[in-house]
Amino acid sequence: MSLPPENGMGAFEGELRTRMESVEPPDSTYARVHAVHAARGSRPAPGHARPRWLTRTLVAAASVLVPLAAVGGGLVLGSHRAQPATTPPATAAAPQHLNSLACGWAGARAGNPASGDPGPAYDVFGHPAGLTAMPGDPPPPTVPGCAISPAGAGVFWAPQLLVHGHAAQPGKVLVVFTNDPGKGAVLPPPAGLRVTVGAGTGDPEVGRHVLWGCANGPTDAASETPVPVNCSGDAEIRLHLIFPECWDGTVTQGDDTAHLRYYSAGHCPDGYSLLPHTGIRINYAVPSDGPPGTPMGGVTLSTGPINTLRAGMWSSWVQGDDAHRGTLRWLVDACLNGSVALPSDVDCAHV
Amino acid sequence: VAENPRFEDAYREHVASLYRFCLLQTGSHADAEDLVADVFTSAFSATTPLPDDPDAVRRWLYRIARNAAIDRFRRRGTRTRLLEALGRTTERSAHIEDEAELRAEVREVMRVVSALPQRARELIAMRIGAGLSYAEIAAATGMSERAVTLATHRALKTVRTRLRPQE
Repeated sequence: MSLPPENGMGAFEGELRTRMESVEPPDSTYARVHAVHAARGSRPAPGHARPRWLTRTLVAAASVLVPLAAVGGGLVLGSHRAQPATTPPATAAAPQHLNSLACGWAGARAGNPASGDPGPAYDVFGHPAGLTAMPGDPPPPTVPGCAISPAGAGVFWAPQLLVHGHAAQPGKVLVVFTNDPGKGAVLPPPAGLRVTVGAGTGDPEVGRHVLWGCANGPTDAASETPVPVNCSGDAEIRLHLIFPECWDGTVTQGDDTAHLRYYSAGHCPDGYSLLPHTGIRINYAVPSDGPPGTPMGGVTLSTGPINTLRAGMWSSWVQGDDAHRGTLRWLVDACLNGSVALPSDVDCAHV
Repeated sequence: VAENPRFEDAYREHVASLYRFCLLQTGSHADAEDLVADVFTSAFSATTPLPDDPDAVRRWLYRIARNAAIDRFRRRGTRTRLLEALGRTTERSAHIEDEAELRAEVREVMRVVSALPQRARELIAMRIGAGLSYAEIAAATGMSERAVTLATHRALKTVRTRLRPQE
């Protein structure tokens, strides 16, 4: 087998190296290594000067994880046992990409989107882009009250956030699907699955799955709180929701939350299949009313106090298959499972 | 360190390229700095003496770095990774745009490399960030040199396509 032709790749390599050579480690790296040695009783050379080349350069993280595009349609209603979970084998080098899609706010509608019961208003989010359905796919569904594109997409909802009784308009919802190394392949979220997170779901660890933070704050779990807090500089507040990912194979016409469990201790319960780890974020522009870090006053939900929050996801993507590029199945297998060869022109973060 | 100036030399010689390797691997300045500190701390603390051969030193350091990157990724839990991903996934990653000190062309490379599959990202990090030869990458990854060459070319081609979509 011959090696691929260069096609100018050598020059391109050189160009990339030149770009990256402008990046140097920050001074603190050197100091940290020496600090560890000092703590262990070893001392740097007396009077040792910091290397001259250690210029102060700040380098930013740049993992940009943008849309896992999903094409819409194919709501399967009625209680049924889902299609056999034909989990594809994961390849040895599964990409485990992190993917996301942005769903625009589609307005608020009264009534519980999961159960269909009448009630308070919920913010509803659907994909605004005109994603193209594949030939032969079922026609896109009409989702009452959700102005999604003709191609459809996943739908998300959360109780309206009220500030002193007035509804705060949310930004778009950001969705991330992940798979982790060593866990094997995941199934795409099945058609018609409606799953909720938060109060009343029976989740004993709601506080780990419904989290508030500041849009300009750290992204680690430790800095998230169970209630909205004031952010510095009037930054937007953000809501993070983490959905359960172990599924027993059942899709009903209503809220399917009882058929899902959180992945725990490194596995799903017996008889459950693993779906992508799914998290969403919703930003709200709510002005601070106190010092940073203090609980925000006057903030409630359309369903009551903050701790009544129960939000959801409705999987209305076209399921498709591995032969249909761009369908959910294809994307999950290509981007998360690595069981479909990823074409060089497909960027899982920007599909 | 003082008792072993060769470690100091190794630090001087390799820290910048190790940092670029870790940066391309992790996509995070903070993670890259942590990893590099861990690598040299491990190397300086190792009971085995520093190899005499400069190439062996280099291979040794990158072996530590690669394992540290893998361990770090595995140590972080599912929820943490998900939250981090959500935090990073801004509308076009505003925080990246805010990093005025980072050159725009580097940001662009980082953005594209971060979206590659893990193996491709590692190969790019070794080849571009660390400047390793295909033989060195093969030794570090356990792949054959030919497989490394092919896979790296494929990854580079993807990066080029995404950096220059008009070509």
